[in-house]
Amino acid sequence: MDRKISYNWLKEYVKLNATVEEFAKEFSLCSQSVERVKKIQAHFSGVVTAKIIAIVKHPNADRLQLATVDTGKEKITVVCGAPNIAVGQIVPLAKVGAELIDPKVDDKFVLEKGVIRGVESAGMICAPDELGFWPEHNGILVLESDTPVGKDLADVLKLDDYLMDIEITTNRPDAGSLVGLAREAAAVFDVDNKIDLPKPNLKLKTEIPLSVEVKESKLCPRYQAVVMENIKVGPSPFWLQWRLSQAGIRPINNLVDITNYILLEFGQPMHVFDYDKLQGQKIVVRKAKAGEKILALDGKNYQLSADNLVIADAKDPVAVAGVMGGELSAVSAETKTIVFEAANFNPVSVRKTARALNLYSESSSLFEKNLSAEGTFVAILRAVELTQQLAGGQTASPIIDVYAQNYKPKKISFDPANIKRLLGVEIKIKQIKNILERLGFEVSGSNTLKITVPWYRANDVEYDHDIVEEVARIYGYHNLPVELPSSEIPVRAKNPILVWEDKIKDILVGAGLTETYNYSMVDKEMIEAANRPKTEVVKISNPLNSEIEFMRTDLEPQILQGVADNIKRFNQIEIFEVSNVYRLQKANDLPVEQSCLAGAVVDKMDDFLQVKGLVELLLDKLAITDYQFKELVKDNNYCSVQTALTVVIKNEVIGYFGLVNQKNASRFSFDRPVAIFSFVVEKLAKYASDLKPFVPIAEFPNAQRDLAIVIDAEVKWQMIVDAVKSVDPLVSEIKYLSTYVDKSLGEDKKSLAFRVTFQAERTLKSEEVDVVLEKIIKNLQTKLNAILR
Amino acid sequence: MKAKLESLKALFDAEIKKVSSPTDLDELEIKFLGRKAGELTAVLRGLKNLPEDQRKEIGNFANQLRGEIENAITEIRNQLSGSQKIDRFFDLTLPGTELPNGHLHLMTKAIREITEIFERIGFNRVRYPEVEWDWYAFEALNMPGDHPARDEWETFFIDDKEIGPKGKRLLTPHTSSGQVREMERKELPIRMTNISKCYRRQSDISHAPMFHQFEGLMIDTDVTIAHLKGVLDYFAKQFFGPNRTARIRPYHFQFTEPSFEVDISCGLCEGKGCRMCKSGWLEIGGAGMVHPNVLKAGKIDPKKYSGFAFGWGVERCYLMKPGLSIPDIRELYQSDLRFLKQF
Repeated sequence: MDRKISYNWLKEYVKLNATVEEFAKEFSLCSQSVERVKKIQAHFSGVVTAKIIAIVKHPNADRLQLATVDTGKEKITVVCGAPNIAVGQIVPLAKVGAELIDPKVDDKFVLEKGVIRGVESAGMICAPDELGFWPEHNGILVLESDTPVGKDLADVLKLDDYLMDIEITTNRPDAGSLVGLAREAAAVFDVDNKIDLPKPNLKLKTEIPLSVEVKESKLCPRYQAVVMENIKVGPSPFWLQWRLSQAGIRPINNLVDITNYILLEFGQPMHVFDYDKLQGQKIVVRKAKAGEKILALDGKNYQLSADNLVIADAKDPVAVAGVMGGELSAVSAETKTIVFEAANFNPVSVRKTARALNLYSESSSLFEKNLSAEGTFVAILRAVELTQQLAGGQTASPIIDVYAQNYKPKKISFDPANIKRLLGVEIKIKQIKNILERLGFEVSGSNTLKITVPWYRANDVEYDHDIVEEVARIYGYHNLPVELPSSEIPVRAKNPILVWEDKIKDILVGAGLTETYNYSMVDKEMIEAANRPKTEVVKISNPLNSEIEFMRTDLEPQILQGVADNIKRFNQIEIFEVSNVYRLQKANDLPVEQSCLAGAVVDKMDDFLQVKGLVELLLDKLAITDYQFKELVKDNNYCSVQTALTVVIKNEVIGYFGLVNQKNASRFSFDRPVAIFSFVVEKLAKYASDLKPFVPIAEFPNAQRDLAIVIDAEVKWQMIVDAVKSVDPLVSEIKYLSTYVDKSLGEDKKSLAFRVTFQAERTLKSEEVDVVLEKIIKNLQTKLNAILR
Repeated sequence: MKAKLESLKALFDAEIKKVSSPTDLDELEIKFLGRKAGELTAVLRGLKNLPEDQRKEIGNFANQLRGEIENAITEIRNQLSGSQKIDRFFDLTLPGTELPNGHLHLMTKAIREITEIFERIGFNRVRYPEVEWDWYAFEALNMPGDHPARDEWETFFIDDKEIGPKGKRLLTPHTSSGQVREMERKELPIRMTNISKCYRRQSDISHAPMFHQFEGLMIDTDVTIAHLKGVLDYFAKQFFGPNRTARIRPYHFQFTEPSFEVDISCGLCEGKGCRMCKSGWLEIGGAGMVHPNVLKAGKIDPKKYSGFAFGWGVERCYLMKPGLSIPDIRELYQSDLRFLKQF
């Protein structure tokens, strides 16, 4: 949680001489992180304090008044529409030429002389929002009665300050308050803090009855309450409203403001009820009954269930315990008698209730971080004290305290050797003690230390490690040495999948392909495109949106989408991805995560041969030699038998490639042929090798002959290869050169050019090569009806 | 004899001007210097028949002439040969032939760089499930069912309720879920890096719902905070540059104790403080000493072993490098070739 903390306010509790920058730097290194520091100053100018000395009605407007104000030097009359002005008030007066804030646009404007409904106004009495204080425009800002008149408002209010944005870690709700931060600051800077116990007047003149019954002491370990009477509800003084608004809390009225102020000051959430609205002079802490509802302070109705802890009067729930109060028992302008609540609630219960109701507050956020039950005591005293100062009134009951068990301070016995073991440096016992004492721990003993944890740390400091942390952070992590570990390096085999993934990527990038990364999560359409059985598909139960609702079962659909996204802009597209796919094999188990490779090639021509060449290159670079290209047994989801091949090693299909079928071409609106390829990385890894065996270089020169033949168009290249190679052992290689098709060759004919290489363990004579060549030509004529061109 | 040589020289000078091809030049060379019938060769061969008094003078003159002819031929040959051929239409400004030019994805580059840096100090890269049990992602990391700290992870769940002893299935929101997986292998000591896709329910210009994290974990006897600082500082220097340093500040995670936030000194202002950083430091990730409860969950005795862990977002960390201020991080995961072909 983030807290906005006034540096001046903090300094009321701890003696700090550091500048705010020094404070922020040092504090962040040893305690909680100061994220930002903002200078606070008046955004207005030309505003002075003035006293209202007379008010008359505006001659031409019912809702306006003419107020005469005295600045000590002059008396001027201004037009004012605020309902809360009264003679004797000291108010902020903006004179002509003053700079103010226009709350509608949150920007400055210069006040000009105005004529309002026929009456000239020589200035303006300002509302809080016009001075940039807090968003209130219903009335003018009324200053305290002892405010000097005729002074510059910014000077009188001592606005110059720094507001720090401090990120409080979740384990330290105790540090999320002024007092908590002051304790930390005192320890960090090794100075004293000035946290005084409130001293309210607790004498009872009259006693007003209130009974408190806690039915769920596990969920509410402590409930403190006090009744106060003769209360005057009204606005809080400027300083209180200002502090709340700086912390981002909107001022409401003095009583609600007091509870919020204590939340900021001590980190203890409080609540205030109108005593007269509680039925039966009773507070019961119980679970809600089925069917009960509450209208909360946010103006919404909440349906409660038996899992929700509530504060109830004799009849109905009046608050959701630790989360939010009810509207019907809230303090209003007419309230005369109140009940303050300072209680402690079970963190899990508060968290579950807030979640179930989808109702969150500062209070629930603090309680769910596990506050100490000891914290209610000082809070309720402070509430009485502040009420007596700001709203009049007297206590009308003793401080009621329903406390499930007596608090016993937590004690830890600590072996100082742990410090060296975890920090890597020795810290002297004396210094350890000093640091812990600065943090409020009590320490005794000299070898094994007996440490008493202060109540406000009882929920986060549990054992050795926590003590080490406390000592280390105040000692300063930045003061610890920087050392590379010198212990033995463990010997581990590399994960082969990771190794081959990288090699495959390098090969493909070397061949000119671009690597893509797609989300593992896909939408329904992509899942349909992959066409896997539903039982294999992993569905996310709380997707962010429908575009990322399922885990992909295959890479192909997103690869094809990637082609579709680029096909209008690029003539040539060569992309691939190496990523996991996710397929369920057992309904209630984790899916199998398999690393796969898929890619696509789009060129101007010969897409199939391009992708085939790519696959051949990949296999060659991976030193996979004993593979075969075989026809698909049947059409697969992306390709048809006629225009695709599988890659097979020892009867295992390790991948396929080919042209994208019509179904997918229309699904992804391709205007050109697209070729894809797909492999399982694990299977490539199984056959791949880093080593290629050495083959002796032929000792004798080879001989080469080029041939061009005309054959039927249906004759496949492989048939020519077979017909050539079978002729004689001297034929070592046959290399395809080109195909040529022309009407002049005859109907359904094509011309093929290729190069035959002859090799032997001796120097070949031209004549013997020619003899073999003749045999080849003859064989081609006989078997394939070929004609030499 | 001297007159003969002079006329030979005049003849050569006239003929060499007519040479326009290497063949012409070869013919010219043979004509004058050929071993069998070269005209100058014949003269040189006849020197021995000259009277002693003339032999020296004519000999010197003839040898000098031979040198001149040889030089002239070599010069013309160089001019005629490819490399020296002067073609006034030769266009140096034409673009080079386009060769295959593939592109690795930025994340692959980042992951490789990080992997290599840690491999050099003995950290082995591992891979664990992305679709994971709640137990590994939270429970074993000292975050039981209703712990409020879980909220920080914005987790995608597969199941609404627990389906087995390890709870719900989820998309792992951090690589820390690999910590206990690694401990369960029962191979100590441990030095591992786990770099993996992670998932969180957030999507804006600086957050993609799928992103990459990397995690370092070291467990051994006597592992200290000083060692963690050493490793982090080593990384800062290797990854960002030799002038950079790392520091740790107190923080809180449930699965480490103590826990830290890791800062890297700002490269722009070198620690002085500027608009790019927070008083000289850039926040990069989290770290801490492995919590005894986590060691116990991995069946490792916390009295005997200690360890540290650290981790952060690969994207965030890589895009902190100069020139990589990509305005929307999600661009990485769109297959836009205009973007991907830049790297």
